[in-house]
Amino acid sequence: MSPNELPNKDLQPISDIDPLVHSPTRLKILAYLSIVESADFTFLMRQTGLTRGNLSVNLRKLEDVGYVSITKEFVDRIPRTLIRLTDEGRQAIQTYRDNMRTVLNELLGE
Amino acid sequence: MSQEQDFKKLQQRTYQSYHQDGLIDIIIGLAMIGFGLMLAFDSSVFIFMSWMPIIFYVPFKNRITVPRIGYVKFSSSNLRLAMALGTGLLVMLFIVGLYLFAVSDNISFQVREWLGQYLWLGGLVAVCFLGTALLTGITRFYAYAGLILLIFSVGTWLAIQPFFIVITSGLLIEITGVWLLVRFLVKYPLNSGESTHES
Repeated sequence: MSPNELPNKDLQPISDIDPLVHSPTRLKILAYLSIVESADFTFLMRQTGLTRGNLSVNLRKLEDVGYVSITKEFVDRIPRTLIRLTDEGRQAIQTYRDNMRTVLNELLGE
Repeated sequence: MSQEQDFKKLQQRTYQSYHQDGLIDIIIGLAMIGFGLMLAFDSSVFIFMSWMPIIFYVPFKNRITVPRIGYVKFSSSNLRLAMALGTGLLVMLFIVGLYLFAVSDNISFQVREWLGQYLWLGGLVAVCFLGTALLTGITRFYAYAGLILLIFSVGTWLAIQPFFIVITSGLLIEITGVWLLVRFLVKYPLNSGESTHES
């Protein structure tokens, strides 16, 4: 059987995996955001173990696609960056989980 | 589903890490000590000590915890229920104290004797701790539940003054809270250059 004849439809769920969510760094961020209503930048940094720069870059990517919303507020005159998962972000995680489950089931026969 | 379980575990671990500062223990310990002192001196002055600490919880959290590990708002209904249980514990102490204060002059002997046993109070407090521990995963609350039951049982068996039982329980929780707070402050020193916002 040549490569062209491979039953590609079996591997189709892999193509459905959102690469934006699949990145370990962003998945970590999204996982933490999915279990809370909102968190600030420091909290996410502490929990994920990411550096300030790395977290900032990945949050921007997630914000650009509308998976997270970032708001800045002042509490006792101290600035605070508040991050929360949007409905789209929540849906993206759910879809990602479903797709991953399908992929693992089909590939590993679980 | 294992993934849901993992998310629940992650949620519990996150909740635990947000409460590793011992502030909640300090508040509960102070409330119990205040309640015990009120029983000891039969004075309503100490009733304020039972619920006053609640007022300081949020400001202390904002000044001590948030600058060090950041701010988070939990959303799960389970965690809300746990918060409600914790608050219920403090409110219960307040109401019982208020009741004792209100009826202290004309309270009947039977009621006084029943209240004097206090094992029921220990049981209620233990259940609150147990419920909170089950829902949040804060494991030390299991120990508190067991400890409270043990102290109240031994205290009732040895006919120790109820105020002493309550104060001892409160003190043990208080000491644990202070120890946790010191450990937290050492583990997360406040960096003057660190802010809670994105640079």
